[in-house]
Amino acid sequence: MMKDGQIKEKLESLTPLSGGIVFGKEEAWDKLQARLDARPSRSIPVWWRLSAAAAVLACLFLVVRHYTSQNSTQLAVQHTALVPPVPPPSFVPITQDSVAQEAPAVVRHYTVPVSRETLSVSYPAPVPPLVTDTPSDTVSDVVAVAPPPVPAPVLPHKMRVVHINDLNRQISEAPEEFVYTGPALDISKMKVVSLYDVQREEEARRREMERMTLVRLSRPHSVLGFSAALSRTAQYNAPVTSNLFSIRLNRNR
Amino acid sequence: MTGEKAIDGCRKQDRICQKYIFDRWSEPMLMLCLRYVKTLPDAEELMLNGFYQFFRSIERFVYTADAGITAWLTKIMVNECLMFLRRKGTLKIVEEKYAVGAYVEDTPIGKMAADELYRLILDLPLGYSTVFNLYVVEGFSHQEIAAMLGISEGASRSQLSKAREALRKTISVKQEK
Repeated sequence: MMKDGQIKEKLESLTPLSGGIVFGKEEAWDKLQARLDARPSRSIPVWWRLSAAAAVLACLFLVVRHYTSQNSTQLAVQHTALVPPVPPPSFVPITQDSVAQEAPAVVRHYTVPVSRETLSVSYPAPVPPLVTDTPSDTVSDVVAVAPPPVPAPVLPHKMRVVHINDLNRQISEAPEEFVYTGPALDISKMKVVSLYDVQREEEARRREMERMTLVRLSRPHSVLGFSAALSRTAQYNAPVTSNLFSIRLNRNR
Repeated sequence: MTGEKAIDGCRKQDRICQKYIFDRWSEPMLMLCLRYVKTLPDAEELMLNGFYQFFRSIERFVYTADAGITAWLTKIMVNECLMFLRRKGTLKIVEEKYAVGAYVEDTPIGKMAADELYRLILDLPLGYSTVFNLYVVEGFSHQEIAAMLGISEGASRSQLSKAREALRKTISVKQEK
């Protein structure tokens, strides 16, 4: 071995002064004292910083959420203030007899949207209530709900439309004073006939007379059809007179 | 003031006791640092860092003798120096083939002055001088050196062998002159 002990002794005996090294001990002590007096800086772990940041973000989220929900509630309150007040529905129990006498019952469900999404959307117009009509077949589950009072529309007085000619005819055909001079009648044996039925029978009779008419040359295409029939009969050298009276033009052609 | 009282005072953050410890052990610790880093400002800075760590970790220290203080301070200073060399990236030890019998018995070490020997060691490559100091002067085993430097034991041995060979050649050349 290369005399390790000797080397160690020589190196450990070396001092700065013997080695020609200038060492300011007091200055070095001052530096060290300043470091010792300084408050040790506590290093904050990364996970602690991350958790703190997450907590701050969560708090911000909750505050913003709370604020927005408050705003939407206020809007909803203002919104409902625009809707005309609806009187509370009156629940009237209906018995089976009353249902049988009246018209088929109709159950009306009034649903007012109260969800957050609906309320958060603000429109100046009021939200109309949703009405669903479901006819019910059984009486047991029928609960009549009186609909909210709807103001009746003011309509003009219903008047009959009459043509001026009808007025003149009515004036001219005004019934004169009828005086019966025949034998005495037994009203109990008389048949009661509706005036409407009489008019209908007269109309049917008139149509039958029109249908029995042979030729009606009141339209232009009827003339064309007549000439076409004449040309066909000439082509086949058939006697014109035999076909002339057998042509019957359809008025709907 | 004895070493034991000084350590007790240091536990109470007594500046006088701390000054006593610093005055007594600062020069050997500075020379220790100068064996690893070649500039005086770096060595001073490392020495101050070592003393700061010592005073901060004084609660864990169990006093038995003054040699214990030296050993505790030496360990702290060596760690500071190795950390400094690693941070600078200058300590790169390449595993070389182990050269057997590279040391020479008849090297006239005894006739050499201490500062001359110190300068010869400083002139060695950084890997050689570091392993040489750790093994010869501080007395660590190859296993401990390998663990501290993050190398294999074989690499530590080869570095020490190369350091001895280089030192022998340098001394021989000097004697010839």
